[in-house]
Amino acid sequence: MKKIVVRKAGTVRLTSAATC
Amino acid sequence: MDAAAVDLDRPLRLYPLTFLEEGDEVTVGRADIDSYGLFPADGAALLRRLETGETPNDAARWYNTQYGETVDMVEFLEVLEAFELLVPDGEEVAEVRAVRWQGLGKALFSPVAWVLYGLLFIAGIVAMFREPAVVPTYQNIFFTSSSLVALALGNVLGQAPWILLHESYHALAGRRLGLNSSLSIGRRFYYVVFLTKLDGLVAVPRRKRYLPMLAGMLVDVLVVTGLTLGAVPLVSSDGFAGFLGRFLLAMAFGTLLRFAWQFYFFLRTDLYFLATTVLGCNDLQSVAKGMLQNRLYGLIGRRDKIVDAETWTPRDREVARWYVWLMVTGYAVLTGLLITAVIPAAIRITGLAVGKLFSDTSPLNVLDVTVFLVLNFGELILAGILAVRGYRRRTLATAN
Repeated sequence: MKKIVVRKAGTVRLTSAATC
Repeated sequence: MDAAAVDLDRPLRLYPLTFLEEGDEVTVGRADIDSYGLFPADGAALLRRLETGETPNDAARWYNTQYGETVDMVEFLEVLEAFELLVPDGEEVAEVRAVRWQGLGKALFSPVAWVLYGLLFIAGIVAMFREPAVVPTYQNIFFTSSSLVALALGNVLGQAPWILLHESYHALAGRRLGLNSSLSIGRRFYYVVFLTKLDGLVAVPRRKRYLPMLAGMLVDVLVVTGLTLGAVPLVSSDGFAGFLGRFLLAMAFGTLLRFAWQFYFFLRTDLYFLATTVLGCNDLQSVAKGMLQNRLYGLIGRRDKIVDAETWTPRDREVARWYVWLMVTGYAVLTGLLITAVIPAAIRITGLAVGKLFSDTSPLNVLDVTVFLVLNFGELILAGILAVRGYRRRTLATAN
């Protein structure tokens, strides 16, 4: 039986340092 | 819904899906909840058959004819369920709503806007050459000598509007493409950060991802040049006008420091996402960390803890082999900075504040010292709290 492997897509978090 | 109990001779209901073909893989998912998976080409083709209303058994027969193999359909349906692509029985599919602020997003990155940005940038640079007093330098941080609290307050709160503008530009560049986004507070090592979640970017072609990723740094540059321009007529004045000019320059330098912080790419900054997009990666940081952990577990003989490298994309594995050392070096440098600079400075600042407290215990002075300490250490303490909460959540998730 052929298993279809699906990977989770990466996340995107765009940032800025809070302040020092 | 239990995938094993599904009637394989009845068509399935699927949520509206997006498909993005990239090389050998297809990114498929739901834009409304930002749930995306990387499907092999045959898996995506099989999913398209189900999407057109073919029954699972018919689609499996098609797969067998097309690829000469028998597909494990029940397992495939379990995968679709895990990504929440199947509509549960009795549930209606809500209409996909257009994102808000898409018009503003388009306006902010229109040709006219780019011309204005270019003019602002050039004017700011020209001003710096013509007026040496407004050139960014670390001395600009000290915009007042009247009070340490006012100085710390100005430098901390003075960044707030520009941080929100930075994150808004990420979000609006995403909205321009019709993507959802949300704002939150998080942590990168010992830095507290504001985060714009733009997971929907994985479902748009790579060349369209660059602008949303760089929009924050673009606006940082514009803020620096804009504040500098604003300071030109004020900076040589006396009284309030002079103070305002110095404050504008302090905010400009703070923004420049946050811009420089983006080059700590190993903290998953905007430039990290830009680089991983150019390199064709999916989740490089997680793979590099997994690779490092596997190596450590191998050394101490805990082979049961080793993660199967097959769960990572081939490109992530390839890049992580050399990226892992950049990441380790980066963290080592920041740890060195923490030990040699941040902690000694913190001890010295605390010593000065405590000395000031004991010299005058009037309520006003106690308040002054307290506010000063909160402004100086609030971020480090908040980063510590977020780290502990994250660790507890992960431990709990592992235990379950």
